[in-house]
Amino acid sequence: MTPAEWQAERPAATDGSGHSSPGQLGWLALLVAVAVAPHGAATEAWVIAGLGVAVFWRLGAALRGWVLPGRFVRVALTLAGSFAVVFTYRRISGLDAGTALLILMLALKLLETHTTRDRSIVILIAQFVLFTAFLREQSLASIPQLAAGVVIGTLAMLQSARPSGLLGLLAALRLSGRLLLQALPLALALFLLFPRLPGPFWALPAPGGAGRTGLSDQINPGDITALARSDEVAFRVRFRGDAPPPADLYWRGPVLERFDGRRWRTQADSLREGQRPLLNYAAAPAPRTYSYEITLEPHRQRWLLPLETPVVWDAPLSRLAGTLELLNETPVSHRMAWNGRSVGSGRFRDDDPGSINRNLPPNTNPEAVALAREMRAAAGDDRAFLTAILRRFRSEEFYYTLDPPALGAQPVDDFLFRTRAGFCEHYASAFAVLARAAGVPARVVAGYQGGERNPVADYWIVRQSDAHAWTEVWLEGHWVRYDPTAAVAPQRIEGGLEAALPEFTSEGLPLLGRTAWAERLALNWDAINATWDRWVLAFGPDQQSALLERLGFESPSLRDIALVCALTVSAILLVFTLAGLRTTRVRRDRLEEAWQRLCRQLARTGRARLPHEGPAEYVAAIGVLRPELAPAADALARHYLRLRYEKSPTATEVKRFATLVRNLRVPRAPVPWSAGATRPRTAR
Amino acid sequence: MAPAAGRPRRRLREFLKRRVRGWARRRQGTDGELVELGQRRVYILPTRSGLVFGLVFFTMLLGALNYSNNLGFALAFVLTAVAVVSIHHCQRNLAGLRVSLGGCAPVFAGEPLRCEVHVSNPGRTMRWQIAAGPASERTPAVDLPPGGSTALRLRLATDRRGRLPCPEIRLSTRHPLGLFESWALIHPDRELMVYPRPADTTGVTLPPSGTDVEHAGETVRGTDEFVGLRPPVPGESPARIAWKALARTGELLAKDYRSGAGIAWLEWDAVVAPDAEQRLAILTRLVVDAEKAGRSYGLRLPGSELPPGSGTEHYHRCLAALATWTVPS
Repeated sequence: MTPAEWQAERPAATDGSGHSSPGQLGWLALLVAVAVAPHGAATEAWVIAGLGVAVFWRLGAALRGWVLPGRFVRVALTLAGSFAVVFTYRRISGLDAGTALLILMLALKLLETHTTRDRSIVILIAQFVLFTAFLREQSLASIPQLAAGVVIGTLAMLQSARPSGLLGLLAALRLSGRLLLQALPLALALFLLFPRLPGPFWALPAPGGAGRTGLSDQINPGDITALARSDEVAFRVRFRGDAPPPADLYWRGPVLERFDGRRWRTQADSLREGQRPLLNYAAAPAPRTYSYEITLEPHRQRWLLPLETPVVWDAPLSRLAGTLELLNETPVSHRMAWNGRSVGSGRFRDDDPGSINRNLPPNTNPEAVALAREMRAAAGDDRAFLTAILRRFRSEEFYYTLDPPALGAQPVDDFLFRTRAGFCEHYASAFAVLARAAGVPARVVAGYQGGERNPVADYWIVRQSDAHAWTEVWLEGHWVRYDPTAAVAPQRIEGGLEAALPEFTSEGLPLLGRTAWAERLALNWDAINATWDRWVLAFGPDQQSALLERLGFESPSLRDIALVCALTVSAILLVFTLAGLRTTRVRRDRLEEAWQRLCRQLARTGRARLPHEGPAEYVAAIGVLRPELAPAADALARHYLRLRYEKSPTATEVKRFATLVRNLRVPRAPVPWSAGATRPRTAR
Repeated sequence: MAPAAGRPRRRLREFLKRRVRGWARRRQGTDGELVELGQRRVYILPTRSGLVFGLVFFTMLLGALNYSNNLGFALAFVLTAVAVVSIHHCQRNLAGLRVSLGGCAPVFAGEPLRCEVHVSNPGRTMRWQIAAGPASERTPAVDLPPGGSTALRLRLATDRRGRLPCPEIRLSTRHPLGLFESWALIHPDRELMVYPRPADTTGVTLPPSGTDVEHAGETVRGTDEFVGLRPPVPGESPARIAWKALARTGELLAKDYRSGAGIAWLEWDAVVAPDAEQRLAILTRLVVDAEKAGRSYGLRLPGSELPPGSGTEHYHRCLAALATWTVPS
């Protein structure tokens, strides 16, 4: 049998069953809104709408007594929602589909939220939904989201955990504010000192759906055009010392050597891995070198995008491929900062380009091949031939546009002889095909060109719209860069996309056509963003080690970090505990102490105060027993009652009373047992 | 839902609960009338939602580590820190309160025993959501301002008669976030009295007024109204002896009453019932009825006898005798 146990008696006024009050549900709804808002843009409208309906329904049920769906309906809705997510997103895992599922769960849980436990589950899911928002994006705009989530989350938890119902707003704010302020030092210590482990432990989900931009290991006609429509930041560069002129800012990405008549692709990995001897400064004088730090946004590819041509870099686990691609060991999955040095122009000793750079698939682009052979014969040597191609691009009616017409089965032929309108990848591809057709080894290089200098904080922003493709041609034992786009639209190279494309402004890209002050504002904003990225978002294992080195640890190990973290956290907790001991100490009531003392004195008469006796009664009883004590005892009791009940006494008044009590002399009762008390043991 | 799966778990929980309570009782000893909850007797553990929150924080931490997501870290760490700080708030919220127990009037078995836990806050800070009763998020709770006090009502289900050591009183709070519950156990030095459940029917009835007969359930002699003196019968109650007359005349006489309700002797042997408990139940019913009828009654049990009388004190003395009766050795 279970032991007998006291049960709480429920007051009649409230049912005390922990049922959710409208106010508590309101706080939950607010938290849900804060958590889901960052997902608004990336989540299907019907998911958000479903959540909205659920919130509305639940609040209506609390305020107006609407009927909530029964168990059967909820199960049906759960199944239908899950199927709809799978149908819409074509998958069940991954960030977008996962978030959509979480939001639907939140909506359905809200519909059956009654008890305190239900409420805490809603808060829990909401916090997790907010967490996934940061996987989607961590920008400066995420700070208010984080702050709102934490503050509203704490308030919601506070209100939801109260069985007696809602607390007043002001008191709730004060309580949660105190909690948060006290939590901050601990949170900061954990953030800085909790051991950070490098690298992902499990596969990162594929980038969510469409809309992600970045370079890839192949170029189809139109690929870079799509990139150019995005003003997302690809990376930021801070030069130490001078920066090269904008026309020399070529950021080298994938080198595309395989051509199938339409598409350019990189070589198989195994063929690119070969470490090559670098740098043969055949040219004199020694070329200029540039030092810089690149903060690369995660693009989930391996290219580190150095300035051409990299000679020194400090990114660990990276290597320079034979094609002069700087490759990271693994795809860049989070923001990464690395330092590099490049030479602006120089001669590199290169291996023979091999057949792969000469190969043209047979029976493709026959018109282009014929044209190349004809031009090569007319030019006399390779250099003149290449110059002739550039001249042809420049002098004939070629247009530089982001909206080129579609190309047919022989894309280079179509481009050269019919559409004559294209973007950098069209020109680079055509140039390389013409060169190869004439027997000159050639390849396409993709990457970024140029960038925007931010004068506010002196660094360069390279955006996806700076994505570019150019050509390299094998001349006299070296790879030489030719940029055919420069021939058609030299402004593109000198001044970026906006300079090259007047029609660009009409496309409504936020980047372009800004007034001066708006531009200045934007640059300031980006500078703040860059600082945020650099100091907050990029904080990782390396920065943590650097922090501990500053604290005096030489090359701290993971164990050192864990130790420092544990000690710091313990110290903070100790401070809390000590502060807690201080605040829970009970306030001394000196008036009460003085009264107790008086009672003890009077008890010497042999008559102690009975628990139910008030001061007046007790003193009256004493007066009967010992009439000579009556005046003094009566005065003191009245004094006490006045201090206790008439007004709150000052410290000096209490002290005076205590002194009076102390001065009272009560002789011991001569024959204690005669007053009906039991005979004391000592007198036996 | 499945009882087969649920029962061992519940049994384990009950076992642990008993062990913890035994430990706390040995550690704290028995409490006096007024208890001040010192830091050392306030215990704290995460609640179920606290554990689930911990799991979610951990998941967030893993996710943030995997994705090297610094805002994810920030969220997980701030929430963790708030939870850790809430431990202190929760414990501090209970420590320093003063508690005393009131009420606990005896009841009949089957009726709930009620008591009041008087809690006062002598501290300088507000105390939030103080609850008395078992660990449940549904236990009602009250806020206590500095210097304030309140009475929390508790009840205890009773099923059998007897003296019952007062079970421990559990005061608890889940303030501020519901992630942790701190509690204190108070062991009042007190015994609770549970009277036998009165039988529905007695099988005997009180004799009609004005008669003087031996009846099945009780021997009735006389009634409320004094009519004269008569020779006493053997075993006459001292209350019925006419002491004044004895002093005056030297003759032993008993007072005789004739109208209203007579004195009722409620006797164990006169009740017919299959076992002792049912006898006690019937006697309880007789006591209740006699008190309600305003009669004077005495109780005769094997091993004890209560002389006839009436009034609340006598009533409760009789009921207590019935509640604590055991077979005399």
